[in-house]
Amino acid sequence: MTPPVRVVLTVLFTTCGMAMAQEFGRIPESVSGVRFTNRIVETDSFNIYTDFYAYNGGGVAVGDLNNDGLPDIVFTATQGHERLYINQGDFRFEDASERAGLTNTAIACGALIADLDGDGFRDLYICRRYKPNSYYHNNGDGTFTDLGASTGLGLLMPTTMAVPIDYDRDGDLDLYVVTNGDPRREGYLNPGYCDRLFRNDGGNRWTDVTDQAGIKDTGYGLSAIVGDVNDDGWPDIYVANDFEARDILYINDGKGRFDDAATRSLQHMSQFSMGSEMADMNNDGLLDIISVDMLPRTHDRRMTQSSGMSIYGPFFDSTQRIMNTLQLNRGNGMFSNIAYLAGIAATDWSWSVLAADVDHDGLQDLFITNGTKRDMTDQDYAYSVTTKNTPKARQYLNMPGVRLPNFLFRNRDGYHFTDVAQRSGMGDSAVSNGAAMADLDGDGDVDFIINNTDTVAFIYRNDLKDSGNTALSLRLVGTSGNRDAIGARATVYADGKRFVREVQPVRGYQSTSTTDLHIGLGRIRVIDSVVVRWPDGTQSSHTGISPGRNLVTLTRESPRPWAPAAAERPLLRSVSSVLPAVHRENFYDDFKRERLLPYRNSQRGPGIAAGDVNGDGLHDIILTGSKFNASMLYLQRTDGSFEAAPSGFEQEADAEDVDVALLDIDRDGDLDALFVSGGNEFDGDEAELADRLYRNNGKGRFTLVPNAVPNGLQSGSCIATADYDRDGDVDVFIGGMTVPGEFPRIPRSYLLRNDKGTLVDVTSTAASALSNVGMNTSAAWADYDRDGDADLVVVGKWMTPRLFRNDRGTFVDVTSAVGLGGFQGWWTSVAAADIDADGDQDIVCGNLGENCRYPASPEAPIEIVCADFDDNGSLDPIMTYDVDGRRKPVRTRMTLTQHMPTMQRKFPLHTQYAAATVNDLIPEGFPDSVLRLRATTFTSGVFRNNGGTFVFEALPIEAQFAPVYGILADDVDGDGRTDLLLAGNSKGADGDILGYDAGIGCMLRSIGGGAFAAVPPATSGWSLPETCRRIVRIPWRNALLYVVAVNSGRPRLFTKTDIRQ
Amino acid sequence: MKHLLSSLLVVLALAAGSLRAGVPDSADIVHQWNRAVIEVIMEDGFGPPIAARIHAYTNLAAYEAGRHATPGYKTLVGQLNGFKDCPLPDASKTYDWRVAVVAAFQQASSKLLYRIYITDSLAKVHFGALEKVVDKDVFDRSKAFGIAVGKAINAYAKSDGYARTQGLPDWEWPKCDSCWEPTPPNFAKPLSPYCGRVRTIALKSVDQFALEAPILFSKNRSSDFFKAAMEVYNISKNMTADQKEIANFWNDNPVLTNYRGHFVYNSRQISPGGHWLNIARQIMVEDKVSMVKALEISSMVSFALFDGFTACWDQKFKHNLIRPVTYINNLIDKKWEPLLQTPPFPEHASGHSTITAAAAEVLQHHFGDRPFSDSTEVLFGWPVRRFANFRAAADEASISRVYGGIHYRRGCDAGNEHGKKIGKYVVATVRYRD
Repeated sequence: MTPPVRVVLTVLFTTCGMAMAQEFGRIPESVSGVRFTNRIVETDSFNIYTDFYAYNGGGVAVGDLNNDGLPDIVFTATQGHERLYINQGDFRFEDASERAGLTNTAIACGALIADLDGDGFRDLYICRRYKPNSYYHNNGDGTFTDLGASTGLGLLMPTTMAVPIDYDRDGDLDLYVVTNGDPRREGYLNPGYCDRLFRNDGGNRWTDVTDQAGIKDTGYGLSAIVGDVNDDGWPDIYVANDFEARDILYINDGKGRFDDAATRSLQHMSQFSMGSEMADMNNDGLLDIISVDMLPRTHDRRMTQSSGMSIYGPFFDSTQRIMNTLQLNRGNGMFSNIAYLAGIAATDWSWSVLAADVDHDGLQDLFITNGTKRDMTDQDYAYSVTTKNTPKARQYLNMPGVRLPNFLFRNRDGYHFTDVAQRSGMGDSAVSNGAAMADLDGDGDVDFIINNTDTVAFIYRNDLKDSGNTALSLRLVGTSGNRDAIGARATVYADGKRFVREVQPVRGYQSTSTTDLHIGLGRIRVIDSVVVRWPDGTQSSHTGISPGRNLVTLTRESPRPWAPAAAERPLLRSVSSVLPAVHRENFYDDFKRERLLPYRNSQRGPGIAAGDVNGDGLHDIILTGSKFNASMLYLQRTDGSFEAAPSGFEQEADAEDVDVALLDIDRDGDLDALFVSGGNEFDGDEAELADRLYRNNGKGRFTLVPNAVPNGLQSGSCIATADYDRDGDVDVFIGGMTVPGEFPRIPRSYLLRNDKGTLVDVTSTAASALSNVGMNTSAAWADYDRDGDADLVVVGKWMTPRLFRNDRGTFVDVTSAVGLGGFQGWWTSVAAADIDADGDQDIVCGNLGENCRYPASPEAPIEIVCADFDDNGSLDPIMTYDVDGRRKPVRTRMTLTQHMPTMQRKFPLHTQYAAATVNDLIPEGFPDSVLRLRATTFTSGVFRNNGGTFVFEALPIEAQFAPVYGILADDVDGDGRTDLLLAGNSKGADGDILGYDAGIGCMLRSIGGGAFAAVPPATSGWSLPETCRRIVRIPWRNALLYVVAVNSGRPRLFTKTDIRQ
Repeated sequence: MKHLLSSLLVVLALAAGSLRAGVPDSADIVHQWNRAVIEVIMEDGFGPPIAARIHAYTNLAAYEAGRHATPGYKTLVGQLNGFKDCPLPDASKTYDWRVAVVAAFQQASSKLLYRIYITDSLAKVHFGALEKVVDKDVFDRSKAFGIAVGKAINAYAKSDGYARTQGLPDWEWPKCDSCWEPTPPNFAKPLSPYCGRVRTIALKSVDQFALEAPILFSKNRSSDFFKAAMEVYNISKNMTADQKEIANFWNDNPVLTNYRGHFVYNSRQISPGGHWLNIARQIMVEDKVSMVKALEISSMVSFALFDGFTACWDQKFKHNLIRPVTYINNLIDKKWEPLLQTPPFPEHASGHSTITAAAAEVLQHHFGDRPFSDSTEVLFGWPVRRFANFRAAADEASISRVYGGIHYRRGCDAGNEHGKKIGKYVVATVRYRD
């Protein structure tokens, strides 16, 4: 027996949990002299009613404006002019605003410091909302001249921020300006202004190249972040847009144009995107993208502050989610938003997000500012605002506001984050907007400067204790047009690791941070090399550099040309075009009937089965059809392509077929077809729910056998077949998934014995416990005890995987006895395989995954209590979770009262509802009829068979990004070990969450002993952003074909690129 | 709860006004209760059909509890659909009918409204004043009687099928060229799609009176339907100040949504039914009608409103006609927005036109042809309007929906005619006295 590898991860967590020795100390304004406060004074003409961006706050720019080697600070103000503080050293600053000539008091947003004209003095560019932007040219003598009018950079449109980018790699800085819309709008049709791109033509001549560069973003842009996300040497742009317009991922084609890759690269994005950031969070060498939104963190805030829109309007876009996103770069052009898994999805009104390795442990942490002067999404306030008692002129003064602490998320392992703001000394409560980081005192770590609304600006000194961690501070010196080397990428190679940073000073929100790079290295003492890719695409390598606190300056010396590495040849290649099939899910809105459903039950299909149905020696494929679409037969031709063929299934198009099996039911030597029908569209007595058996005439033509399946009308999920009674013919288990319209009632499941071609329901006599086993999703037969007969594993939602031991044809529930008890999950798939090569069958189980909004554990489970509590004829499933030890409803008051209107009488106020436990919702106590469900784990994993009892081991993190609906165990890489191919995703989450769809499939390579390592998708070729279902494997053209059933799309087919013999 | 107090204050201020003279005048009790129910309906945000249902049952309860104050008034048991039982007072005992009316109003409201702390507060004020002038045993007996009547009405209301409609799935609206679809700016799902299935209170059946059909749908530019849409469009483009005032005066959209970026809030207005009850109240106060007469008129108006809405809603979801904003955006001007926010349900026929006409018939019956002025909308920032008679007001309310850009003229005219028949039927069949 080999030891489980999970231990390694556990140890990792433990050691990391103890670190974070550093603390931040706030420099009082009496010491620093920085007394800037962005005080927002509302008037009758300037308030939330007249300008919905009134409280968007100001920014911070850091940069050395007087070339004395010390970073200076500029703050922008909503009311009042910009403030310039000259760094005197030792955290003392002098207000030099007036002397500098910064007297423009028009509303200012973003502040950029960069040497735009390349004259050796960094300039200042201020974005404004209603007046022309200011391009303050640095005269080099402490004064500035606004060249906005003469250069054309004095743009007059609502702008948020300007981002320097040498997009054409000609050696000077071009300028991308993020524009907004009119925040005084009242109607609903209000596109914003198109972002602008200005090309620097030298000599302070600027050309607007917006159109020719393909920039078309008219969203209400709140930030943009530049970085080379696809590592091709050309800077790309992520634009974070508020409201309806989604975010944009502009990929630079290297020919002067940008293509928006957001919809093909991102499964979904933040809806009300505010600040944004790009950084390699897991040290895989790829830039990840972070965008922050406004999802409240606490239950109280979530229940009282919510925002959303009708899903029936033209602006509804299910790819936009109200949450922060951490888009993990998968290296093949795809991203996975793992914000829930990371624990950073909800940080309230989040303005800035900055990545920096503040504790030098080798992983970049995340700092997020938050707050709003007034809670404009406060539902009780919004409710109280009425015009019925004559308009109250000063209504805006009654809107509540709250000061919340900012967040400092410590990166524990590249994927999981813990908020340490309080214990690190950054937990002050304020309304914080723009923020910047720079090493203000030259001690080799980043300090933070924060622009607060109505509170004096914060300066936090990083008091990094000697924790044994090392770091490297780098300054890259570029060429004359771009001396700060903005856009350069430095990669530190050490200890077999790589640390990638780019010089991109504009990060977060409306702010400019340092152009120096501070790279934490953990325990590393020796750096192998530092490789710099310069903004012009050349590369230089530097050795002999040691970690330390002193700034290391690297110049562009003897650069070599650089070209991106050729794409690797993946293990699997997609050959989807040989199967001309497409699954079309019928539109059905489960939530119109069951408004409190935690997920849709209508998107289970398609089922898939493969086998030679016409006796030509080639494997054919059946894909089941959704409601209104017949299940389809595809015959394989000799050239390996498939063609749709008449099947005999055509008449029964109305059923929602969710699974199919090919089996020789009558032992006549050909494969008959058994379909299980399900979905949530039908009521329990409708004929479309009947499962169906078709007999094969031996030539691939099928005939329906009326009433051949003796189970009632239930909404099923799966078929599993085996000759459990060893009489030579194949028997059938059919799992029930749901009772349509009556979630969470338990549907019936069936064991059907094959008596010489006739299926007989033997559930009550042979396996009575099976009939109400749960809301099944998948089942597998496996001889787990090696006694020669097939035992049955059944998984489903709100249940633990259950094992039924076959005792000479009768089935005994041995779930608890074999160690499977207590793993209540939202299980979606199961496969039996000997994954540790010890000779017995292990059980691989797909679950919801750990990238979900409400985690479940045995200590803090997700539960449902359900009855018709309000006596109006419909079931009321109330889902609850643990909030500080109390069970509270997961769903908001709005959702609950749509289904249970009389709850409004009980909870007139959202604050009352926020305080309510489930017992307050149902104070009279639960009736006897109450149904109870529970989930204690959402982790996908393997139950390893240790001689008849099972031990659970989680699958690697990459398998936890999304629910797993398809599992195929096979030796994919030909090394003799059993690997796992996984596929999944769901678009069927509730109306708040919308989808669990961050997955792109996952190939797990066996590394022996039952342990797995995820293979990067660029290496495996296994990339499945679709909503995937089951996977089958068939022989194909002297090779193998993996066929993945896809909901609402074309099935995906893969074959091995090169099979090692 | 500071911000929730506004309605409560309105209600209590009304009560205090009459309390200065000691105890509320008997008819004032009725007026204050109807005003309070209107306030709570606004707070709760009930849609117009549900609001009318609430008015009907609260006034029925109060009438059945208080009718004994004036000899000759009959029970409505046996006259209203499914209304079989209602407690009677003990003929040998003394009662204070004001106490009974307050208790009945409060009890009936408690199962129909949500924010009942407002109505409970009003009851407390009324009971507090009455307790001082009514013998304790009489007070207790009267209150118990009023509660018993209220409970009987609660049971009666529960049997009308409304609660079950709340348990039904959302209406799955079909899609076609002429079909209604969610409208800007809220794109909300349809409001109360099953209100047409609720039992009518006086009408024999929901489709007892035929509704004139809409103009035959067509996308053709020369069609009558296109012309009807063009009429709405042209009126909005050439709107006179008077038309604008009329549209706003009769807007009566209970929940108006305002968008300020992330700040989204609803403005509340009186519902169409509430508006007409308020017109009735103004006339009744002017005429100083008695408590029982006030209950008779309020309940009869409410029945006309309730049946009017039920019949109209049945038709709305059968005709399922596209709103002008959708048609005009699709075929005429994709940026056009109507003056008023389009309410979230199909067009044909205009609910306001229907219930307005029905209510006007009831008032015409009671007060005849008389000019009156309506100050209901002063609270919402619109002036007092004067009308020659109730039918003239009804006609103006009806056409106001065309001015507002939310109905075609046919939908208003057809609703108006439909409502007249319903109102006349209520007047003719519900007998309060022999």
